[in-house]
Amino acid sequence: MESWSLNLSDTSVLVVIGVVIAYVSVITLFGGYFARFNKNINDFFYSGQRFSWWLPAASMVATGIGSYSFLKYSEQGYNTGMSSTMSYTNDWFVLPFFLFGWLPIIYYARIKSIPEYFHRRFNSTARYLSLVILLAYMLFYIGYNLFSIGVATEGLFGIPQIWSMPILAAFLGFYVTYGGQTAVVFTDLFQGFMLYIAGFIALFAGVYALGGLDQFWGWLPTTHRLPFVHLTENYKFNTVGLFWGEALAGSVAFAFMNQGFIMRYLTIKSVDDGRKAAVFNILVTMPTSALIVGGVGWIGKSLVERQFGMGPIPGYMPIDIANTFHTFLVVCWSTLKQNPWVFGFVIASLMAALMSTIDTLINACAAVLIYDIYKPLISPKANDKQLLYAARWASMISTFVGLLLVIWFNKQKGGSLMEIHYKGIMVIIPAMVTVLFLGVFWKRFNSYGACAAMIFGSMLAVATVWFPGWIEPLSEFVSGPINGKYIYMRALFGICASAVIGITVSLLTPAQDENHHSGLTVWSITDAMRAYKGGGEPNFKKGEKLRGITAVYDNNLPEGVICVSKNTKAKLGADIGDIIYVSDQREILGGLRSDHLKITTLVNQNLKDDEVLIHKTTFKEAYLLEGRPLSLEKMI
Amino acid sequence: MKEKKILALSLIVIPLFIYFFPRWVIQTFGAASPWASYLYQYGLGGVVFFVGIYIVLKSEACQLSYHKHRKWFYFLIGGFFYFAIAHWVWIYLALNTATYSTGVN
Repeated sequence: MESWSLNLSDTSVLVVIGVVIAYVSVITLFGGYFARFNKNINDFFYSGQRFSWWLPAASMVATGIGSYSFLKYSEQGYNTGMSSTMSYTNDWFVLPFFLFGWLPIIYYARIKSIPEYFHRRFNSTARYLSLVILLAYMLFYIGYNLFSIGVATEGLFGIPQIWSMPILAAFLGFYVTYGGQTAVVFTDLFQGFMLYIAGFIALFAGVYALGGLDQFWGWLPTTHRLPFVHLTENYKFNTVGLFWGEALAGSVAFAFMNQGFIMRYLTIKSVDDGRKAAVFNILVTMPTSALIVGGVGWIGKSLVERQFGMGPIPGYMPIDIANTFHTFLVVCWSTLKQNPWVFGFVIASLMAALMSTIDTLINACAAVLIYDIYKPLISPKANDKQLLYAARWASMISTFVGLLLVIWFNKQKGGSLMEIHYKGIMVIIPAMVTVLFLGVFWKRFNSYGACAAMIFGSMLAVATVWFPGWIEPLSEFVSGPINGKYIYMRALFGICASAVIGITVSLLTPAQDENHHSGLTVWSITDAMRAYKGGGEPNFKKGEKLRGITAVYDNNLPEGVICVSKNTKAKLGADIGDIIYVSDQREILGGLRSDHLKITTLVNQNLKDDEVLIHKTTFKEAYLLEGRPLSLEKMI
Repeated sequence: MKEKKILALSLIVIPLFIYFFPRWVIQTFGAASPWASYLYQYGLGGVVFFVGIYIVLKSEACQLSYHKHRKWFYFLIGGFFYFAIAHWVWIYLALNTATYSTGVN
């Protein structure tokens, strides 16, 4: 057993494989534990919308870093330097649209899947068109993640992907299939910490090998220190292309049409907590992740420069990056002084990155298959048990299809990982991103426009693969690259083509009745809030979060409601009919034991201020524990 | 009527800005300058960002009279300048500190 890339000894290979298998097994068992929190299909996919912001936000760390991220951004970091951070630090521009547009709409309108939004906003044709594009987008990512980890295992151990991929996919499929979204959130939380620890170990080892931060910075060429690349020079990676293709199209796709991320936001207890998670993600998580995934490439460049200027560092294996696909592996192996235990831990973090991204996507694909195919078309009367059973089958099918895509990715070899990634994404996303955006922000946009834009916009974007010259006038207009090879500018072309088609068709066809899309555009969010509340105006009064509350059973109360004293109601800033978030007061649980309940009229005049009346079944269904104090917070 | 005028004006001014601004940036700094990339991203990104701010305020999806919305509004504006300033400082340090690298690799 001899690696063809790093020349690992037999013992080292066995140690690294042992660490990786141990890690994957622990995560699989940990994820499987959460099957007990899935009493219905809503729990399986959305964890009952009960988590505090920090839990999904922290778990998004791992979701946002795929196995390809370490390999792709290390390769990019080595080739172009700190500009590899560009795609992690350019998402702020679309944030107003997300925080005050898309997030409240999907949350208050209780949208379960992106195609469901298309159905309610437009019609069933739009739903199934968007379903095809969305599945292509998510399955592309599943296949791409599996492919990139296959590249790593092949490079490390010489194990052909035909063997490594099915085994890994089986582990992944197991815990997602049984644990659902709760398992995904909790395993991703754990794996996020794992990723950051392993990433920082790799960075620290590299900086230490170089002799400190000043040496690292000093040996880095000026071009590699800059946070931006040349405006247009490199067709694979240029600022203009990244701005239009990544900062705009890519960010909107990630925030608006990534079903996996949307589902993560839908596990959160309120829109306000969703905004906290989104801001934290862009402000803190993504820049930190950019450092973690690209940093080894920067260190690699600095090491190579130092090696060229002063010879290899004594005590370290000389760096020889013949294939930049393996930058991450080669640099780590050298800077960790070929210690198989620590290197095994770092490789396990690659697995963590793979598992944490794919589990989200598998769960998201399953949600789409259930809510947009199984329930409406195959079994409209299915009960929760049948839906849960079908959801588990859908998870397995998604994993299997993603596995098959690895074969296609293997045929795409020849470009960098970054190039392969964007080549696919920039063709898939433009039409749907445009329709989603116009649907949310333009009331006049109708189903004819949406369907025409998705069909013809997608066809035109795909056609540019054979006719790249079509993109040139647009690229010239925005001062982009003119080179006949357009990766990112294809997204801008697709967006413009879809927008022109969609707007023209909408203006030439009758407008939809405004009631048809009430609560589904940014212009009618208050309607969505009313519907979410089940009637009545949203309550914007300031209120306190109350702690140390004791539950008192009253089985005469209806299920799904609570009753509190007048003083407690006043402190909460709540009125009758408002939605109250009742939770185990231990913050560390992140809302795992909690529920949203309506406040009802006072039925017991003797109720104390630190007590809440609740039906026993409601108490149990919120996973609350007897004897544990509760917290109360008004939501809307 | 006022809204239609603003929309019509935007449909003229924004494409003109997208056409002329990058050309001015390239002419002034050169396409290879990191400042050209910086201004391209934050100039055109700024347009997208502030159009977004305008729409969410205009549609009353963001109501500044509500304390929680006001907080997020300030966060949004602050975050934009946070990233812009951070990138500015980064470029400045990259260009103005010594390097040992010969740059031949």
